[in-house]
Amino acid sequence: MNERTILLVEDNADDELLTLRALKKNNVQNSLVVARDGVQALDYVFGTGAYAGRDVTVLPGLVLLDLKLPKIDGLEVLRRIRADERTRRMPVTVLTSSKEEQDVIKSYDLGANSYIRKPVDFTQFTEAVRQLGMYWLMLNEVSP
Amino acid sequence: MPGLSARAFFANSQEVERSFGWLSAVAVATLASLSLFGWTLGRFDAPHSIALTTSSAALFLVLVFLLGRLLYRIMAARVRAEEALSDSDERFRLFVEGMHEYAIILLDREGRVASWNTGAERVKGYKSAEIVGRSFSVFYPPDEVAAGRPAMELKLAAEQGHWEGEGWRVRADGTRFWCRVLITALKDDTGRLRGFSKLTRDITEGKSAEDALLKAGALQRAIFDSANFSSIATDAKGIIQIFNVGAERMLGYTAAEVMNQITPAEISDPQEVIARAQALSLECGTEITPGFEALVFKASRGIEDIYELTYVRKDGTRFPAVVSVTALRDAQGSIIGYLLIGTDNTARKQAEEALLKAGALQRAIFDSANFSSIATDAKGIIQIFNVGAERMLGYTAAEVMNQITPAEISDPQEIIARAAALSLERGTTINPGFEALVFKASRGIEDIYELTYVRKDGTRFPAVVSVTALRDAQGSIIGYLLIGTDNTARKQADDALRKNEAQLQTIIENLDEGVVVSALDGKLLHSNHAVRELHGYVNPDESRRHLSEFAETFELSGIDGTHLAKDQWPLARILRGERLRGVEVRIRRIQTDWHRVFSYGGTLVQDAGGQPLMAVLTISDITERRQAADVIRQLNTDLERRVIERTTQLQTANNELEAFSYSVSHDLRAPLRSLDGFSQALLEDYADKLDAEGQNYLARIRAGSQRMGLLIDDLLNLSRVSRGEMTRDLVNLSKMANEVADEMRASAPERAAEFVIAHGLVAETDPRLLRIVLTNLFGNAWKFTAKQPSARIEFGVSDEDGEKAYFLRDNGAGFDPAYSSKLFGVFQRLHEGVDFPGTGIGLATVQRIVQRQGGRVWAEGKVDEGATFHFTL
Repeated sequence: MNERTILLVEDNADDELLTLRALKKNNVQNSLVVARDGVQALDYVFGTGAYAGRDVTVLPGLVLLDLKLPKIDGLEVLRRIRADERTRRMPVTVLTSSKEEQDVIKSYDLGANSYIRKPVDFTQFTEAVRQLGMYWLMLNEVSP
Repeated sequence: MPGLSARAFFANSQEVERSFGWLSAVAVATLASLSLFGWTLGRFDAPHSIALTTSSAALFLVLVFLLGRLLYRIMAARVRAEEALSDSDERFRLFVEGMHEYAIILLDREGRVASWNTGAERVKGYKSAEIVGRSFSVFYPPDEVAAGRPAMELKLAAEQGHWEGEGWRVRADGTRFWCRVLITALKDDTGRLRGFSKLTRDITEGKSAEDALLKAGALQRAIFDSANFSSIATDAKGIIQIFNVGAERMLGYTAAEVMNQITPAEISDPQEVIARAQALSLECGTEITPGFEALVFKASRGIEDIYELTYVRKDGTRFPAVVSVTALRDAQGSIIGYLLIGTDNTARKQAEEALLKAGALQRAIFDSANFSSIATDAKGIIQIFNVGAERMLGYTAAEVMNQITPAEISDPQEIIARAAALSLERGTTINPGFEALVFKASRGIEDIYELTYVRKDGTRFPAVVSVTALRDAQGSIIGYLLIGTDNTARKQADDALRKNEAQLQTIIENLDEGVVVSALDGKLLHSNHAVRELHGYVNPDESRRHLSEFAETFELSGIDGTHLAKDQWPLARILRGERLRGVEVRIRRIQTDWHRVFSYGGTLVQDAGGQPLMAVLTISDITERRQAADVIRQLNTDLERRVIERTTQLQTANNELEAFSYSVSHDLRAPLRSLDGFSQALLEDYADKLDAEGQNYLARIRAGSQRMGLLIDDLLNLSRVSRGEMTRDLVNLSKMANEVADEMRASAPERAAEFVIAHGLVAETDPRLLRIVLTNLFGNAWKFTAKQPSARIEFGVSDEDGEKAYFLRDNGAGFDPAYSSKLFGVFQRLHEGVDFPGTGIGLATVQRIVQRQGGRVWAEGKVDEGATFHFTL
């Protein structure tokens, strides 16, 4: 594992905790920033609002994006990330409860790198997170 | 009885009394025949008939007496016959020779001339030496010889004892003469035929007298003297010899002015005479001079000739005439003059009608085949029967002349009816016979009527007959002229027209649609039954008024209620030349609550030249239709509004459902993850603080959470298959089934299971939804065969009442058929979850999909005997 930050966009505190637990169980030790709504997520990515002044050239190694979010929803967050030249190639994985067809299609249309549905079974959830971390943070070569 | 008086005969018989032998008998028989013959001839000689009858009776008695005596003599003095023969021969010869009026000829059995008297020489023109020994057939015209008449007459005489008749004979010089002939068979006492006596008398003069009687007789004179016919007789060169009163009246000349002065050509239109001469020259191929010759050329060649000619009156005015030309011939057939009979075509009372009729008449006369002229005497006996009559009626003139009246060639029923009608009309009894045909004409009334003629062969034809009384100079009726035209074609046309009109009338009268016919000034000429019904007329007269009078009764307005002034009424618009169609108008009876909605149509009717003749207006009551249309329009509006409402509601409901599903999908599962996730965290992090029971509880919480997660997923699936859009593609079911089967195998590779999947199954369906069906059904089969040592799952197609039904058969746990209806309900499970895990939503999803595609699904099975699921698409 390396120093790349994981941005977890998750409004549900339980899910946040379970995700952290799953990451931890899989020995993913990258720094983790949690944004609890769409605004916070965009502020972090673009160095605005609460994150004004952050060095935006340092992009998260992976964004785990929930779709159903307060203020600005996940799809809109994704759209804005992809609309910006700086973040256009940043890996974004949708991690959400729904597997509604419309969500999946829209996510990919907007440029999501992958779409993961959170399983109810925590064992499966842990496995999913493990594979996610493995792939995106270790196997995947990021765009220069 | 010229030349043979009773006294003379008696004197001759005195001679015969002293004679013997069969020749004497022949002489007597001949004389007796002769006297009878003479009496027969007397029929034509009316002034002598009484005297003849008297003398004939006397002769007959004498004859009987003589014959009796002769028989006696013949029998008693037979022995003396031989010696007296030469003497009696000579006497007989002298007697016969003396008969100058008669050709008395003896013929042998073969008809050869055996003896010849001076009478024969005189009558027939042969000398005895020339003719004796030749066949008597030389006396007959060639056509009669060819027809076998001479032989036939001899045969008849031989069979019947005698033959008597009239006919043409030919003299030695080739001229013909009309004669009366008596041939008597001569037989000896054994009855053997010995020969014939032939007695011939030239009655040409009698015949001529008969003809003359007809031709120059009262009938002819009547025509001659009729003021309605111009009769002009000329000599052979055309110089007028007779110029009757009709001619005087028509042409304005007195007879004295023209007789022996001019020819008819000089009172004819010169241009027409020239034109006629040219036409005839062309037609006949010989030069005809444009003068009198042109008028009579055809007649001079024996051709019946009737033509139109314009006569020029003395005062220079002209009139069209129809002229019939006849050549007048002497006994030898030489033309001695011409008779031109003309009728004035302008002399008609009603000029227009007359012109039309005269035109038709002229044509008919010209084409004599279409024109029958029958002249009768005063009693109706036919005297003239022209070629047209012969053609139309099928009789020859000879068959009817002097024989019958026109009534006998007319439909008897019509004559009876005509007589009855006339009797009623005239207030006097008219006999149903010839009188009925000419009664009006006999009273001086111009009479043209329709009559059905009956042909010789019994067939009939309708004729139009014009009857004219023929009168002598004193005005007494001496006959009638019936001019008839074959009316068949017109009659048929009339009948057809009448039938058409009647049909049309009936149709119009029975139409539900009102039909009004109006004059161009708005006066209503005709309206049918429907018009009266539509307007609620009580009195039929109400419908026959002028358009303007309707305004007193009715008020018209447009559909929108705007008042229509009279000049905007439909009929008024049609009269101005508009063509209307479906003009809807509200009509109200003034001061009543009667009101209807009418639809008007119509147009002006024009003649062939485009001149308007009348207006036709059609009316239909569309009140109910209009009301119904209003109701329907209202219903449609309501329905549309309701559909919009419902659609909106449905849309809202759908949106809500969508949002609900979305929300369920997102939010309902999160708490389950918390339950499961933190239970797991407890188990992992605090296992040492929980005893076995505590751990078991946590395990149950996790199982419950996961099961609920499955339930939520399946319900969302079910909801999704109900909502999502459907496509239709050609889907390879066999391939899809194999893929699903592979998934099953992959999920539990350790299981011994056999999939039997039919090849080549293709269906038109939604591939995504069908995959859900197959996944559910295969999943079902896979699940319920889990406890079979060797599972067998078969997918194929069968025929169910002509419908393709796919089936999935397994040899698994099966089910109790009593509950088969519950299989497809949501959350319906027939097995304990412990034995076969499941949510009870899969088959409900299958059913939803199949039903959405218009198919059906059903299941068969028994406990422990497997199950078969069928579905159609």
